[in-house]
Amino acid sequence: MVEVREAVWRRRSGWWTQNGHYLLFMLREVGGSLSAVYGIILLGLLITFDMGQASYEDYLAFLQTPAMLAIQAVILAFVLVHAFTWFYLIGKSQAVMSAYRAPEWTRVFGLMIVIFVAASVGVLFVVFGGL
Amino acid sequence: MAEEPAGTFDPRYNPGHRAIRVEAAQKEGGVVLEPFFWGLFSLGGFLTAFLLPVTIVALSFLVPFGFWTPDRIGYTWLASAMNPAAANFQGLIVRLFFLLLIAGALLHGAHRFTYMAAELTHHRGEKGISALFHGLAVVGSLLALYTVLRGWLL
Repeated sequence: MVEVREAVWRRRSGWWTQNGHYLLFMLREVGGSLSAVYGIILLGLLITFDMGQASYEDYLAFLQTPAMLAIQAVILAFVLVHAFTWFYLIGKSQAVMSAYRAPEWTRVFGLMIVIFVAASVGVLFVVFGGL
Repeated sequence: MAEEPAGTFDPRYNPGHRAIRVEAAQKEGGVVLEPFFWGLFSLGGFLTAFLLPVTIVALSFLVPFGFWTPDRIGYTWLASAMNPAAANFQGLIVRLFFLLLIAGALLHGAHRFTYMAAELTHHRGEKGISALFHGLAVVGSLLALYTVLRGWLL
């Protein structure tokens, strides 16, 4: 057996700025992180609902201030980047995991978009009472 | 490319392979929570990707931009939507929807934030950051569970 020198491998700092794919990876990480921020906003909605009508309506009014709308617009943009780059990755990773047997990534991506649209319409009808 | 032999690995065939696996081998006895949290992270990512965008649009933008009237997301709407006695289990489905979305988003976000922070801080304080954010996500999820059970089972 040959002796192998043990070394801890680390990425160079700023590696994610080196090409578009790495940058998109980091943007997806940000999108995933920001989804937790909207999770907190939703939790606030349920807590203020539990506190009563006045608290709930004050909270909704706060969410509709220009500053909060701007923050939520940024969250939405990153959450969409997170979702769509993940849909893209599902098709791409299948090719890595099952070479030559995976369908074209565009077909998988298209299927994900169909499921995304169906899930969105379903949420609008079941949770929000329609379009 | 040759398959890795099933028995003891000989590094002559792939120098560096052992070195890359050093940390994983050292952790072998202690990897218990990692797959559990990774599973929750993955489930959270799934829920977040499919359900969160439409929820953000509906709750945050359709009323301020005039597409919906304010009563579409008003107190009466939520009281009715979460009514546990509603027909076809609608109230329970909506409660489950909020619980899964909040817990999924918090756990997914905590995991992503931990690893993003680890990249930016060169893994300094990674365990502390992980414990803090995963802990907050668990607390938030339990709070969400409590709020969806209120008015139904509590």
